[in-house]
Amino acid sequence: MSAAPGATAGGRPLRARLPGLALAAVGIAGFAGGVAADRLAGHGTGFGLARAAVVLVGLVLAVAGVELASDAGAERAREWRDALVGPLTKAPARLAAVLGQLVLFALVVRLFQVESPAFYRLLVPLTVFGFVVHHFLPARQRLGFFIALSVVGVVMVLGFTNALWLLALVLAVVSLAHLPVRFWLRVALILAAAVALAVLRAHPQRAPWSIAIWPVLGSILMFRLIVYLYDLRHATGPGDVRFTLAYFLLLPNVVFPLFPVVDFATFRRTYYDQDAVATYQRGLQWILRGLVQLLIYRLIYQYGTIAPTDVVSLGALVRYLLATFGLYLRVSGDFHLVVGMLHLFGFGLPETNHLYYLASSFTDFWRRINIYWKDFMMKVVFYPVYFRLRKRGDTAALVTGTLIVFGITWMTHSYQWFWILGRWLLSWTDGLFWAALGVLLVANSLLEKRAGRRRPPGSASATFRGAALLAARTAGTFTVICLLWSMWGSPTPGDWLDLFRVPTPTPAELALVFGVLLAIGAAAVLADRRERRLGAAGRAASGTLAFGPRAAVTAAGLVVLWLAGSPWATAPLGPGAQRAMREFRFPELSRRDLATMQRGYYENLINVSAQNGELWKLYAERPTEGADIWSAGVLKDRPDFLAKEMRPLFGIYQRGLTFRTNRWGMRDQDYAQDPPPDTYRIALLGQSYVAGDGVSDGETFEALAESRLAREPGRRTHVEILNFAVGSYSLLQQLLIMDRVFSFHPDAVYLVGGPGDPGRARLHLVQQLRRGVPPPWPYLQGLLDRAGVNASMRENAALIRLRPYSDSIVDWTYAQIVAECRQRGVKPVWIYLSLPQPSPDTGVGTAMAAQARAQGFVTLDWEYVYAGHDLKTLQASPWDFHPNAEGHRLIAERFYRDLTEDPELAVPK
Amino acid sequence: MADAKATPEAVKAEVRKLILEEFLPGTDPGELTDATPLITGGILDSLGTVKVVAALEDRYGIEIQAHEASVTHFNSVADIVSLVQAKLKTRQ
Repeated sequence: MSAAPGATAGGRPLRARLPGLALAAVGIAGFAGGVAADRLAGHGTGFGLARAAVVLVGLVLAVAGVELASDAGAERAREWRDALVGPLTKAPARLAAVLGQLVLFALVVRLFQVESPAFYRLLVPLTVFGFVVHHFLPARQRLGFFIALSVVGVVMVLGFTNALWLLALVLAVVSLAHLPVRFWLRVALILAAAVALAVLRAHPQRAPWSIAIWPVLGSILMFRLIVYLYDLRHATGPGDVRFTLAYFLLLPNVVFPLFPVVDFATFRRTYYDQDAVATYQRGLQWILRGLVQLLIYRLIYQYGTIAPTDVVSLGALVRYLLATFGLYLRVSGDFHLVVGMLHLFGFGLPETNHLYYLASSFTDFWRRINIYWKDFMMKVVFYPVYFRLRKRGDTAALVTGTLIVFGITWMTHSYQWFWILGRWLLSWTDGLFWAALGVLLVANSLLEKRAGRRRPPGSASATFRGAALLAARTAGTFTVICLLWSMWGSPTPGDWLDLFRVPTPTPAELALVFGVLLAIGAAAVLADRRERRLGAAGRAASGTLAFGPRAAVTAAGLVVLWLAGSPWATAPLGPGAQRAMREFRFPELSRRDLATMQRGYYENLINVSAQNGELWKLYAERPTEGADIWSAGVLKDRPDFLAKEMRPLFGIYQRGLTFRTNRWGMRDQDYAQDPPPDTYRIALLGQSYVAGDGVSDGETFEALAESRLAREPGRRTHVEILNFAVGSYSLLQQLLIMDRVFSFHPDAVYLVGGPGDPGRARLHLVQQLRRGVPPPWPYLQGLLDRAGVNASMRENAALIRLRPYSDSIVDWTYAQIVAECRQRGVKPVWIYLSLPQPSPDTGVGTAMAAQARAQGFVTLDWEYVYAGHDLKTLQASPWDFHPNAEGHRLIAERFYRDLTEDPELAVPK
Repeated sequence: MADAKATPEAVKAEVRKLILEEFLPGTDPGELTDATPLITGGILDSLGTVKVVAALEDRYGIEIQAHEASVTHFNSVADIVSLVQAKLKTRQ
């Protein structure tokens, strides 16, 4: 049978299909053009926003065209028309209000640089654009568009090649769950794939893809695959592949490796299960809540956190405990943002965290904090265990189920960090934390079980007595959780116990503790009364307000945040307020994390976790092997107080950099031990950044300055600069190598110091003492005796006791170096130089230089040597703040100028 | 004890009574509708859910599986009644 002229097999005339086909052609051309333009632009990364928009619109037009050209073209045309026109005629004001808030959200995240540039520059604008297109699509096409949007988001953030690897790996693993074989065989295959991936994660250089995709890949698969398999096992009907793809490619995941464990069944069940615009509005409400939490977190992180060694009073202890628990706001804020953003695409997921600081019992705490994790554990662990064991008695089933949940939570916590960071984070304190929480929860559950009937939510504060009891219970729970949380963040149980060795509290400090607990109790009572007003439906919907007031409140909140961060709005408050807001808007590492990181590069930092949320972001990007030149064999251990020194004639090529030492064990060219005639010899002492960690041989500021002096026309005296710097050397080690330095007959000794010197000197003293090597100087031994520090003491406790003696140690060391120099007619010079990293303190260089000058040094202050430059462009890498080649060039310029122009240095011409 | 004559209305009345007595004591019964969110509204937690499961199994002689103790089947009186009815139907 042949078709009639001008008609296709389906019966519609070709003429009727032409507009659809033309539209599809335009769409395909747009899609292909967008991709090609991006490739031809040669950025080497992924889509820019404009090209992403062209690609997505092209895709939509192509799909629309194909549908219009199909046999059901007329019906599809009506659908597309209704989808386009409907939102404009049906309550357009509500949609406009949502869009307005979304734009405000984009402005606020950019203003405050929330999360990461990939988030506020790429993903949020993409979300705003995607939201508009998505809402104007027929309902049938929305899920597909969400998948496309998520894929484009991955390409934008990770680049084409990485995105292709990521998507291929995700699809490959998820496909295993759908192989036409028995379920257990599918699980076995997935486990085998997981083991193979884990091996590659531990040795990422063996994988053919970039390290950048590991945290995202891990985050996508590590828990969601378990939930997915569970639901697949118990599914009653055929699945929809679009939900599967959308579930594993959730748009915000690419910038949030720490992602809530979204439940697959809930993900499907809540998809557009309520009025669309009301769902969007609830998402915006949570986005605002997330933003507020992240900004409070930033305040706590920047200004509230202190190091354990700073806990020297009850007031400091309270601050430490509150700040440590307060840092959870980062996780909670991120989760609110993530789930809020998913609401914008119809996923009406439940709340992730709910007033967890106001929990009135341990079971209540477990119900309120990281609710998705609790639900995940209930579903795949607790219920299966409980239902299997309940025939042996409810209590046994309850206790066993709960303890297994906490045991698995402990293990999966480390498992999670393995996928994100590439290393296991198992510690005693981690285990103790989960064990203690598990035992408390079991006890609490048994009490509740014995008590029988439960109080309805929101009824606890109905009477004065009830309110007082609720306040007391909440304050008690808060205190215990604060204590446990601080243990979780401590390296060892001993370090945690040391926190509590504070002097007898003052009345003011006791009043502070009472005030904090009173405030927590009062807040709990107010929250309980609000819960009562809300009722069950209100609690499930996060409020009872109608759309209008909800939108007004959220918009007002976003406007307030935007105004608070706008420079012109803070201008009338004066330069101090402007500076403070500027610092607040551009997040940097806190003092505590900067110190941790400075220690980290020679101590192989392993205690990076959610407790120090900014650090783990950096370390997630750091290669797990070959990241640290000082652990690559250049250092050799010594049994004496010097502890380590550089090997002579050592060479390595790592991270694209050469690092060689000369026959004397200096990171420098070779020199004779005796200076040649007409030579002015400078011995340069310092730490890793002076030795040139982060640059190749010949690129250190010392080598550059020396070479420039050598090229100087008309110079009669040759200047040699011998680099004695060694990574992480403390002042005390510098003092110990003075004899070796003098054996090279220098005319001057230049000691480069930095802000970490006093702390590093104390640390070296304590670490050597603890390994049984006392200081070889009676003065320092006497100082240790006076401070009551001995070899059996834990590191933090000893450091706290030595704190008051910091200046004494530094002054004494400076005086020794100066005296030894003067004895030999050598000019002692002290230079302040820090890493190109944002410093929370200014003027440190001036103060330290004054201290060095007081002991007899000639001083140079290079605190502002990087001024006028973006510090990030001068750093070796995002996780390594050592100066790069450009940073060394800047320092060399300053060094050269001082050497040739500073009369106090008296370097001969 | 199994109850072969459990009509949807009878099951609903039993479930309402159970929820009101055990989890909403002192609450006006009118506030508990068929659609009141029990799990997402904070009325039933995991312990509450297993308590309801045990009560339903005892009352109707049905067996509820671990994976069924979820929001899908226990988030409202109506959901619970549907589950019980389905179980009773399967048993017949």
